[in-house]
Amino acid sequence: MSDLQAIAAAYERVDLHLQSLRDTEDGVGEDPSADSVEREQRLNDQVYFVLAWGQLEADIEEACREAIREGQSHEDWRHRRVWSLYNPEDRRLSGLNFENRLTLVREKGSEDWKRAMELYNVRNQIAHGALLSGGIDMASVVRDFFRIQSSLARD
Amino acid sequence: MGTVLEDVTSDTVDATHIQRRVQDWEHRLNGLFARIDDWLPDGWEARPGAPVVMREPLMRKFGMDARQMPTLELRDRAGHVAKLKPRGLWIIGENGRVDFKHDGHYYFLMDTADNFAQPNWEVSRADRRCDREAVTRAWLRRILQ
Repeated sequence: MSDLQAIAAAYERVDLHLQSLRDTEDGVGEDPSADSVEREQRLNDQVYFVLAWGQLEADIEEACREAIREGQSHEDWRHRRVWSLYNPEDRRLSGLNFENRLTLVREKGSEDWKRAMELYNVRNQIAHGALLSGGIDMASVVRDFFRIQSSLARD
Repeated sequence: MGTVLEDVTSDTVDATHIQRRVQDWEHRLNGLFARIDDWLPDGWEARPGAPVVMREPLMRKFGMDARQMPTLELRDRAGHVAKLKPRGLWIIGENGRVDFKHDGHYYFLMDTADNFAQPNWEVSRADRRCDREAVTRAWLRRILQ
């Protein structure tokens, strides 16, 4: 997630600019121009959220590849055989979907696993064209991303 | 109790829930403003500001009318002014945000509790959003002095 801080900083600058525009309009829903800035802020939240999500997803994918390589290098075939089903060099990781990738590096059902899946669903909703009806607190989301990343099992 | 994330992504949210959430938001805003009033340092006074209209997308989606929400203005004897305005209820990662503008700086007051739980207000400067602290009397006095 080497670019996550930079993405968060860029978001903050843009949102602060929109905030000052909104404050100038000073209507918070009373006039169309304030509504338009509010909408821009919501859109901006979602644009940066998807960008930031990519940073976490790349780290989960890399941790998953490492886990597969580690598993495949085990000396005992009984341990190795499950991992041999996957190719860590395959761009699509042998068809593993996101949930299964995450499950290989974080305990299924744990708080961080559940949070990652919730945020993944938000990412999907946005990326597939159904924009959210709310805003996003990027600082809180970025904090979640770092917490999830640091909780990933790395053998 | 649920969260904003669930409100904005769930298929089971209905108009009654949205209505309760808006009522609860108004109740929490009044509670926050009463506390801010109570915490003001000497020389400052609070009075209600012009109400703002709340008409968030989830309200529109369920055919709810726009609603007036309270704001708060703080003034001191020297003419300094600080304003608190509700920014929005449905913000993922929070349970509502209030904008606080004072001395050319923006602060965000965020309730970090779950839906319908006892509020837990935290604050950050808009240009230092990762540095959060609890909304307390000490914080307010530091900002205003």
